[in-house]
Amino acid sequence: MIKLVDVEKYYANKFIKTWVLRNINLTIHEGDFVSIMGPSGAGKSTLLHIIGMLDDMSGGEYYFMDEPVHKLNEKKRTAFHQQYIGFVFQAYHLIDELTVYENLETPLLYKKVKTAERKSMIADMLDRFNIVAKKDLFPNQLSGGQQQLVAVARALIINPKIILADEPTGNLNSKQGLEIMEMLKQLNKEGTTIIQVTHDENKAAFGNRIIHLADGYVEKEEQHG
Amino acid sequence: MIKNYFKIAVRNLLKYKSYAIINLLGLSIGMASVILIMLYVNFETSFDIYNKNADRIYRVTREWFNSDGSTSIYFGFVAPPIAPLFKNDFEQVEQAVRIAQAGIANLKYQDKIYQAEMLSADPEVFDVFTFPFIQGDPASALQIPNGLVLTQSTAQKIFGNKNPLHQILILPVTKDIQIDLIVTGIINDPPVNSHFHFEALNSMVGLRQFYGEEEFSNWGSNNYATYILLKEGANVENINRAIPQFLIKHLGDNANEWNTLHLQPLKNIHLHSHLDAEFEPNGNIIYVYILSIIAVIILMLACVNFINLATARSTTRVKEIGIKKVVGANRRQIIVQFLGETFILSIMSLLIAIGILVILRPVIQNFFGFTILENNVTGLILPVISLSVIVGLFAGSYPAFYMAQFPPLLILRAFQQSRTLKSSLRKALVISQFSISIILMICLGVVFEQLNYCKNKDLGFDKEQLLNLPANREMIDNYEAFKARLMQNPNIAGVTASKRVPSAGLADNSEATVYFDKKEMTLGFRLANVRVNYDFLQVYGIKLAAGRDFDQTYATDNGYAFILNETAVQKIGWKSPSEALDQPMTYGGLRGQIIGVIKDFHYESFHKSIAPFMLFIAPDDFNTITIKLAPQTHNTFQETAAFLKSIWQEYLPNDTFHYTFLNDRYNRLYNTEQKQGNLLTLFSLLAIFISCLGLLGLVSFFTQRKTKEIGIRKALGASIPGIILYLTSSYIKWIVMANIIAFPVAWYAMNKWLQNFAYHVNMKMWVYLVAAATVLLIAMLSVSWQVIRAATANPVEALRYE
Ligand SMILES: Nc1ncnc2c1ncn2[C@@H]1O[C@H](COP(=O)(O)OP(=O)(O)OP(=O)(O)O)[C@@H](O)[C@H]1O
Ligand SMILES: [Mg+2]
Repeated sequence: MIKLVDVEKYYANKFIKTWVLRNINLTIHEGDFVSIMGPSGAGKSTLLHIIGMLDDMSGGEYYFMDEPVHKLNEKKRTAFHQQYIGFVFQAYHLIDELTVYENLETPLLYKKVKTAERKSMIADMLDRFNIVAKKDLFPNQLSGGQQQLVAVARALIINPKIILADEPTGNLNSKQGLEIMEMLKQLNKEGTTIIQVTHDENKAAFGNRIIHLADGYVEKEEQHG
Repeated sequence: MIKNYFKIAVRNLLKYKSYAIINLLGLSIGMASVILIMLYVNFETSFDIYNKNADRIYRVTREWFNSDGSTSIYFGFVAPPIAPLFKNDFEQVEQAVRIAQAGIANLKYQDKIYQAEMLSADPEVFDVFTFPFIQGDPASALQIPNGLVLTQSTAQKIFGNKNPLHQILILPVTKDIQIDLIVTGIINDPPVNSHFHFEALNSMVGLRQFYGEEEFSNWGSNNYATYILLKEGANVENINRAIPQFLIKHLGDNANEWNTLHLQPLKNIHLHSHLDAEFEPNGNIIYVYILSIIAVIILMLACVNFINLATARSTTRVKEIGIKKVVGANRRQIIVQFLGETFILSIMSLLIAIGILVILRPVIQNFFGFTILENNVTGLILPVISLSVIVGLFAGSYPAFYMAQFPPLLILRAFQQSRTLKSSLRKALVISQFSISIILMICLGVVFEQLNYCKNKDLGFDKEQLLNLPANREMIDNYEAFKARLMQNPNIAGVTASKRVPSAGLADNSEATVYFDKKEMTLGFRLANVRVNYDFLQVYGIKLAAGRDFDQTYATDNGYAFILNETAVQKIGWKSPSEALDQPMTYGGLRGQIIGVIKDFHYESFHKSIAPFMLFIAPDDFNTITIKLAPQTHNTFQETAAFLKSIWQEYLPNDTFHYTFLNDRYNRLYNTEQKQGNLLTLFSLLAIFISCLGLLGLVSFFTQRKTKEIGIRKALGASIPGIILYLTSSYIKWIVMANIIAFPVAWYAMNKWLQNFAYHVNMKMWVYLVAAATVLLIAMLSVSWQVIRAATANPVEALRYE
């Protein structure tokens, strides 16, 4: 499903090139549950952004469902976002001007889901994440953990083929965190491809592959089950 | 989706209230200006189109040439034989009619006198102009010599609810003669947007009987506005080509050397005709252009504010845009959303603008001197709606496209890269906004300086303390006795009478000959005349350059003595005023001697160079009495006025007493400039206001973003004035640059404008400097509050704020 060939990323600042990712070769199949680990600043978020088509690569090739992403125009990328990719940001990134309900609604609007269907999907999501009571609140009226829940819910609502989650449980208590991981595991069982970034060994273990990044290189990869 | 956009838009407006207010205020003022100017233009361009045949109606005008071929004078009125001759000679002319000014008529009905603005017209006038009859028959109404057609409101004023038709009104013409006029028709009041107005029309047939055939065959009496109606399908060019031949036929072989006739389309009169004689001061197409441009500029200033603030504040929307893109929004959807937000703003502004105009309507009509007509308003609904769409597009497009191209990842990054580029555009926009404000300010300064000059410069005679009283026939007959009575009052320093008074224009002229080099020579230029009574020079304080004033003790001074002005003497060729003295001269039918030369003074407005003219005594031919008040009368003016009134009414018990100050008449010569000045004041204030509003928005936004930086700088020891300077220095630089752009533009424009005056001020640097300083000051004041607040804040607070 995803194939990265010699992907690299650097930031050119006047005369100095700062390398963030180097020599990344990675193939992720449909149905994989990949955990990315590594020290802070290793490039985990950057890699996830590239996979999520939010950031450009400095070099290399990237194929998403056999389409060369490095050659795609914005229109096509938008279509991928609408149809296939659910993204959870490390910093949640909810729209401040919209309520919880409206934040969940936004991806469906862009996907042109009909009103009735939209309502039931949102109701379902609110229920699943136990945030029905919060649906009319604005993001700044929620705790960090609650915002993270909404961010995850928003990624799941379009039934994406692939979920990209940057520390989706970073701000949750361990019970909530485990619930989310269970939910992801369940989705994975049902066929959704999942790539998550985490610092937590236990949560990484939910994946069938663990990729260790250090200084922009893939240091090692472990395979499970 | 729309609902989602709308919600975000409204919540954003509410969240950033001051930003919303700045935009709403600016855009609504801009729109109100544009709508106002639209109404004005609509009104100004609607003149005379109420006439069904407006396209086929032309006015005949007459131009005289100097011996060197230049224009000497150009009248909107022509001689009485022209209309019938046109009808007779040109097969393509369907109808030709004359309209002459008859002044204010005192119409007597049942012992009460009613004043009405009267015109005399040929009976066929209703074939040419569309004046619907309420009562009476257009074909015959003015065929009877004493027929009188009244406008509805005048009929109402005189007769109330009585049937006005066939009533008799008495018009006193001289002491012994009065004419019974019979009301033969009632018409609708002529529309406001007509180039002439009247309350009563009497018959040219009657006028002809009164003045006699001599007047009606006189090619020198250019007092008749003459209109021709062409046959359908006729080409005016054919007539234009035939005019030289026409003039040769009727005025002799060399007729085209000294005069010609022109045909002026009726619909062009109001905006394009500024001849030496017109019914009323006309509008000016240039004025229409200038106002339109200014209105568009004001609106653009407001749009620029919107663009500047939207792009500056785009950082606050980066996150929203990024997230939307990540969850599947495409660029077009983002553009549509932001354009939509602008449209909401634009429609709200439109509603506010309409509200402003509705509230200010009476003030506006007064200030602009035009009427908002209902049918103009309905005609503007569509243009006004498109206006809000255009504003939405113009203001919204750039920010929308600009924001839509943000890559989603910007959320995750310090927003640095694209800033420098956009801020240079912003800088350019702000600089041009302030350039425009400064240009308008300079124009304002120059216009008022010139107005001041016109009103206060020494005219060469004393225009203070002069009262003008309109005199009718009865007064003329009693003038000497009236004057003697007045002179007994110590508060009255002098009394005279004349056909015209200074400020009124030098409309009359005749052919003149003088002896020069011992030969009789006809003057090759137009020598105008003013018919006066004794004491004219004394009352007006006009100084003699040579010779003497008219003197009642010389019998020959009545009709056989002339006084010329210095310009006339120079134009004739005499080296000095004294050379002209005692020279024989003929003027029209008069034959006499030059007894004096007066120093040049500004008889007409400063628009015109001093023209050659002469004075002669015509004791029975005047229509204005001028009274000079004694200097100490300032406090006793009411008393003197009451005295004047009581004496006046002794002679004319039925007449209303009514006076004007000559000073006011002079000031009225600059009405157009005064109006331009007022409008410039309004618009330059609006421009500065909108520009400062925009600047305020930008400054408060950037100052807020610098709160943390300011805190750190202060913690490191920066002083408050230092911080203020640091925060404002770039804005000061912008305004200085705006000045550099504004000065030459303003100089060019105002130089052009001053060319309208034969006598004008020289532009002074201080006007420029004051304009620059004012704009800088206002701008700095408007931002100071924000900046000072930021600079004086406790550094700890500032750091905590982040
Ligand atoms: N715009 C940028 N310019 C220069 N360097 C950058 C930029 N954005 C990120 N980096 C660098 O790229 C490196 C990788 O960042 P990234 O956010 O991918 O790390 P991470 O592995 O997700 O860390 P964490 O665990 O703290 O989230 C960091 O060293 C960071 O300093
Ligand atoms: Mg990270």
